[in-house]
Amino acid sequence: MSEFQIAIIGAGPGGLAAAARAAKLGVSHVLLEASGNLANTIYNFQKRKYVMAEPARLPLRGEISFAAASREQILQAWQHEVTALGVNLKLHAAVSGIQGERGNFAISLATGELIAAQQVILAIGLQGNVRKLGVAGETLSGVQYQLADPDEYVEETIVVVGAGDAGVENALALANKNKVFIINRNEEFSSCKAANLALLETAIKAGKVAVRTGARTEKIEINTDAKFPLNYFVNTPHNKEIIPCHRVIARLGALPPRKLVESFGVRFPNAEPTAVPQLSEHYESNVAGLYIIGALAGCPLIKQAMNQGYEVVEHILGHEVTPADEVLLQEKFTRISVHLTVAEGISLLRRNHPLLNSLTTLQLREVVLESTITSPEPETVLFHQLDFSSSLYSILQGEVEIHIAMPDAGTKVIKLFAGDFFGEIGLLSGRRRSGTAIAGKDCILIETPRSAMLKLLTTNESVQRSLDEVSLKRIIRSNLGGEFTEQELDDLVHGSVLKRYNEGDLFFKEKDAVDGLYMIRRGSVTVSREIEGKETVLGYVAAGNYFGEMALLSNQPRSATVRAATYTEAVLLHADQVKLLLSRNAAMRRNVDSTHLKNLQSNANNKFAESSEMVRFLVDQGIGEGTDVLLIDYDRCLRCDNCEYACAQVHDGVSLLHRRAGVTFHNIHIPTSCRHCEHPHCMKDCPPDAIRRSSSGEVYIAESCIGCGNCQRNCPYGVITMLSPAKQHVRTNFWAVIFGEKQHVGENRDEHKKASKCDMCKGLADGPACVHSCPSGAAMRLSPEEVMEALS
Amino acid sequence: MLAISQRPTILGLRQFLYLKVGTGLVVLSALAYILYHKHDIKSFGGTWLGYVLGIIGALIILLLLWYGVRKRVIPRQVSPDSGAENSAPSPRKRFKRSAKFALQDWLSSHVYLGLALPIIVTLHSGFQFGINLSTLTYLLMLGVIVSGLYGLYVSMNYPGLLTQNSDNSNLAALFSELEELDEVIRQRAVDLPEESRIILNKSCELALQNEGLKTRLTGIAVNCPNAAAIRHIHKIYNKNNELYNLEGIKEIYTTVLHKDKLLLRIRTELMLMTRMRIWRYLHIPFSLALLAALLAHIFSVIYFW
Amino acid sequence: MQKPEDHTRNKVTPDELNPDSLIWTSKWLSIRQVSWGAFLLVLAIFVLLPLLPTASKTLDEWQVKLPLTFTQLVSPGELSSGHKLFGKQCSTCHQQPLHAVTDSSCQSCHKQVKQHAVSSKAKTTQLDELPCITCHEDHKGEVGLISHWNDQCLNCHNTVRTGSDNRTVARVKNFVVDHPQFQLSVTGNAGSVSRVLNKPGITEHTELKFSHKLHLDKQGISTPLGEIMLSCKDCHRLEQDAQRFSPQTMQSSCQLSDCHSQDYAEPAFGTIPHGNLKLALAGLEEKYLELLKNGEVSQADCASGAGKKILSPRDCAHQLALKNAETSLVRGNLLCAGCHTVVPNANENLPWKIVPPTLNRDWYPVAKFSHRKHDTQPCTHCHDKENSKNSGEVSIPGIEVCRECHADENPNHKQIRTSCDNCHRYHRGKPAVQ
Repeated sequence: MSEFQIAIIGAGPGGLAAAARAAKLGVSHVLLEASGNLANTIYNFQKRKYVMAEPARLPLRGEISFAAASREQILQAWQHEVTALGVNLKLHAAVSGIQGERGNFAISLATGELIAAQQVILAIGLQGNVRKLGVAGETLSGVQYQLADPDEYVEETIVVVGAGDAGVENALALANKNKVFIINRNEEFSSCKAANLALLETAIKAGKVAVRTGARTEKIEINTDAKFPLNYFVNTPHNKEIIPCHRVIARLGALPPRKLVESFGVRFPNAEPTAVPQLSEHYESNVAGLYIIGALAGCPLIKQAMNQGYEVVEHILGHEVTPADEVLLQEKFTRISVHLTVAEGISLLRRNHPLLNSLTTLQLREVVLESTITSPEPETVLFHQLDFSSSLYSILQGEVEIHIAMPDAGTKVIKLFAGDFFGEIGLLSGRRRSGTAIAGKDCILIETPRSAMLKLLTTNESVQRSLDEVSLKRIIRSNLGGEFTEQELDDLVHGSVLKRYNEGDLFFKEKDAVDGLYMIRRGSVTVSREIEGKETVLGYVAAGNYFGEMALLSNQPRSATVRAATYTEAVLLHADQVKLLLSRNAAMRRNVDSTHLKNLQSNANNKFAESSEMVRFLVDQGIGEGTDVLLIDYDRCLRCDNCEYACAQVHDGVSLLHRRAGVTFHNIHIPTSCRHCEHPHCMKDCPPDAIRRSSSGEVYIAESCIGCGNCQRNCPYGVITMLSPAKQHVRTNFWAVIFGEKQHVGENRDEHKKASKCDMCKGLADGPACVHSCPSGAAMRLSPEEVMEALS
Repeated sequence: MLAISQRPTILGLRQFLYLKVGTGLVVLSALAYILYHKHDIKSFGGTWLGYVLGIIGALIILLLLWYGVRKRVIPRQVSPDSGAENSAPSPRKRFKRSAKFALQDWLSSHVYLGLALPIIVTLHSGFQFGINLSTLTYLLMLGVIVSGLYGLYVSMNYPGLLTQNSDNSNLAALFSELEELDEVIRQRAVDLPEESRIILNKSCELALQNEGLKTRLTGIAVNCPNAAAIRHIHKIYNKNNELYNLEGIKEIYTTVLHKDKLLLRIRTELMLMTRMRIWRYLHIPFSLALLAALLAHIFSVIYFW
Repeated sequence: MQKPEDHTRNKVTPDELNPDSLIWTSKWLSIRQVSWGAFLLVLAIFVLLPLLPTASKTLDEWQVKLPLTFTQLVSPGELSSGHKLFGKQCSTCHQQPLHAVTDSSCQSCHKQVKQHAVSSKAKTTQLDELPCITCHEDHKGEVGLISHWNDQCLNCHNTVRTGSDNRTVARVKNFVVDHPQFQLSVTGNAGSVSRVLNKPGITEHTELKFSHKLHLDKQGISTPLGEIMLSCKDCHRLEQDAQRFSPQTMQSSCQLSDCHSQDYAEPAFGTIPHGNLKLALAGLEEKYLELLKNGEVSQADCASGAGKKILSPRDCAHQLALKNAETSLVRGNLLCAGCHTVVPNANENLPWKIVPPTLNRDWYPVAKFSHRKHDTQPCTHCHDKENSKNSGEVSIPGIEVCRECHADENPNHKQIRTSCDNCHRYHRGKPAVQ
């Protein structure tokens, strides 16, 4: 058993950087890599993929170089540097267990080998181990677990195992030039995106892809027949089959590393799949001497991981090391009116940011790194009412006024002081700001962007709890209007429940007993009633409003059914408490009564009932979660496709909307085009955080896109396309119109692709080109409220 | 169905603003004509009134032609408040932005100015015509306007008909349905005698093919192979021939009838689309010929001053 | 987007059924190509073709053989009837591109047309610079060559103009409002002509005793043929130019209905010729000679006392004739003296002289006026002669009479549009075409 001072597990960017530093300093070390390649994840990228170096401002430390370049260039450079530094690299060394702690770690490999180390750096990333077929022949040549370049294979018979998105996409890509079988363990293709499913169905119909459902791989054998090198044995519920083929591509997903990591003794803060182990500021886990860096530590970017590798090695060797972000942090703190050192700043944050109280210093630093610290001049407007912005502000010092303009009751002013935070309603609902925030005197604010906040909320329960409590009170206050004592509010909040519903889930049914008043914090609901045996939609209630007051006031059972139109979070206030409050608080009573009256009137309006099917259609098409949807009135549409043309003109020759590809119901056509969701699915998993929402509401993709394609996969409406920047940006001018210059849109494989989506022609004076350039006025972009208004 | 449909069409845009503009121009021109026209001479446009009306007419023609350019050159004027993301954006500015002069304003003015044009130009001509360039220009203008009126008619009426005809579906879906039906017919035809099989296969392979412009414009295919198939199947069904399996024939019959309906829908869709587009083949060439004639007209007036 | 591709057979896809692809031209030409084709074709025919004759004289000459010449393609309208003669060849008039038709073009035919005024007299060269096309624009129909509009005239005449000869031309802006009163040419003593402003009561020297009132008596006048009523036209006959009337003569006017037959008084009856007093006396003498011969008049009637010698019959007849003439011809109210002014003459043989009448025929000698166009009105509407006893009374209407019916260019509905050139001539002298 060999012993090393440092054992580094995972030869990804973080691991490489750590090992390289150790090698440079002459420390005894070993770099263990489960696969046969350096940086296996990058190795598995599609060929010639361009890899970005984000965040651009962060300096890179250590021996290994890294700059934005193609996959091949990066891998080659790293291979070269690793060899030159004499890194002790051990390939095909999958770790199956780690025992012990600082000074006496015992690392057991899958091969049975044992390695002793004093310190362990875990840099295995999140990709984990690719799941193998687990049958005889799983390692035969011709059996592969990824597909780098679908065009590599021509006129082969290929079996694709696995019906997730990866499998389906591979099968589809291969089907153009090969005969493809797709093997699905289940009877239905339920685990892939709707868009992929539709494509697959077309391909199946066209006979390009053959399917075996409910099928299990039995084994793979070498075929002696010269024509097909492999025989793939598959069992279906009805029979057994042998498929002679050239190649088997298994896309069975990866084993999440969490179990493995937990088996090392590392604890995670909660059961959320996205949770990150709790780490000290030196990346040390709860197991002494076990350091975790890279994606597993919540830092998915290459550069961050590499810096961490460097820092951890330095720390282990007892060298004083300021984090790479120290300079950046200092910069943030010096940009405000009061000069603070990083340490002072962090402690101020601890004192006056109750939400972040429970965070470790490391987490705090990270939050600060992603946040902006400002000391605005008094009277500066931080955001306007009805703006789209979703960052969370905390007051570190001074005060801030929130002005809420009421439609019929003037402006309400709320004062907030150090220790308070605001902006959470926009953050949680994804909707427009409910008030205008104006800075007061000597004000120091920290503004944390939505993405960082959401990450924090999922990893840290206490943050979530305190945020919920404050936001509940605010929602109640803003919804019910009246003046409450703090005690009354506390009572209400105490008795309230935060409920979450998926699209189509029931809140309550007609004739149900009354449970209370619902306040929608996020999402939206449809109100319907059974009319002639059919559930008929009567209304639509969006976030920031409440419902359920009818039955509450009339003491009758529920008069209507309420369902979530999209993923919805609502606060349920207990019926008795609300009634009690209403009886005591006249202002609030008036407020609720007037809403009640309005709702009664709108229910009496049975035009709505006629368009109930339309509402269902629109909700199905994502109106419920959109903020701005492109609708085409097909009774007006000249089918001239000038909308697409205009879109392409504005977006480098590529149309980001596809008119014919959409769906139609009666005269309303929804083309394939971005809905600018309240909580954009595309934003969910964007490594460089390139998908943003501007204050006027447009969700757009910034230049920093690395082309990973996550957003494209996450969008349920299929509106994001991956494009190489067009070789030639032909923008039609007057002369082109006269002489008919042809559009040149070259998909150039050599260049890296980037995600493209509708940005509502952000920044153009005339607004969205599709709408502005519709000759007949058929195209319109509407918010869900406007659509629903148009329905009634 | 939606209140969306009650929004003003291009004809009623902005409370008939462009109708008012067009009418105003016509009324002004007519007034000028009544007041200033020298009635005892044949003016042929050669009076100051004629020149003024002619210049107005020419400007209108240029403006109408510019619609074709404006439709394709998308304005990319950057809004003044962009770039400064946080500098006091006005609430809901996006909705304000779209209230500017959009393409539908262009189209609306295109229609109404185009309708005002013949009146203004007739006044310009002083009702004098002859065998010359001026009259050709006039006739070309009328050609553009008449074809444009047809275009206006189809643009106002056919989108609704298209929507009704496609019935929440689209052409691609109709075609894949057609292909499915063809597959069914083909499979059922396998058991039939040679003669029937050939006729049915023809229906599968040739339906919608080689249909000319006439079919596209009328929506009626004279020698539709599927119609032949229907007649054939109907005949053998009536003959009660024991060569055939009657149940199978019945099924095929239903299928080809279904296919007939589907073909009708497809042809109707194509007919509507064709009619919605074909007028441009007159409108646009006429427009450019008009432009040339207009330029030549102006040039000759200056050249032979 | 992947499109379902056809895998079984030759099948029509929706894209192939794109309506545009079915329109025949699109198989060869796009709308754009067709359009630009049409554009270029029209330009070629209507710009290039008409330009060709400019470049080649031969072509210009040759094209006349065509039914429609290249340049005629761009003719803006019908030529005036006179110009149609050479209208196929535009270069006849349009000699220089981009320039208006020059006077030299016009003057190659119209050689004798004179200017409006002599520029030295008018004290302006502006008139010389006014090109023909100022008023004569062609291509305005068969009769549209002359501009009848006042603007051009008024351009100059809106101020008082004084020529180098100190003649002034009054300011005129409008016929109705400020056109000056007409000036009459009236006959003065001894046939002199003077110009006076038209106003009531003007008389002239006609040397003729004539009463319109008497002759136009509504009761009628007695004549050898009985009672008749005279009308103006009986004596005044319109000339060909419809402006003037033929001069009245004894025969054509006064001897109508055998009036004024000029019989001698007793005893020498007979007719005397009109127009020559000497001849009339000689005739009378012959008559008396004859009467002496026949003894119807005795020699004794002669005044013989003076010379105590018996007069020869001729001398006696001469004496008697003079005596007769003295009483009946020149002294009475009949015969010569009835109409004419008779004055003594120094000649013994012809002691009287008849002053010749100076009848004016042209009170407005430079104005254009057509009596024919005005024949819807009775003469007396304008010429108040029914009560005129004296032939010297001028009854030529002034501007106020014209204005009863005539207005300027913008008449109201009861008036007649009148332009300057209705009465005034522009060119000096008479137009002549060669």
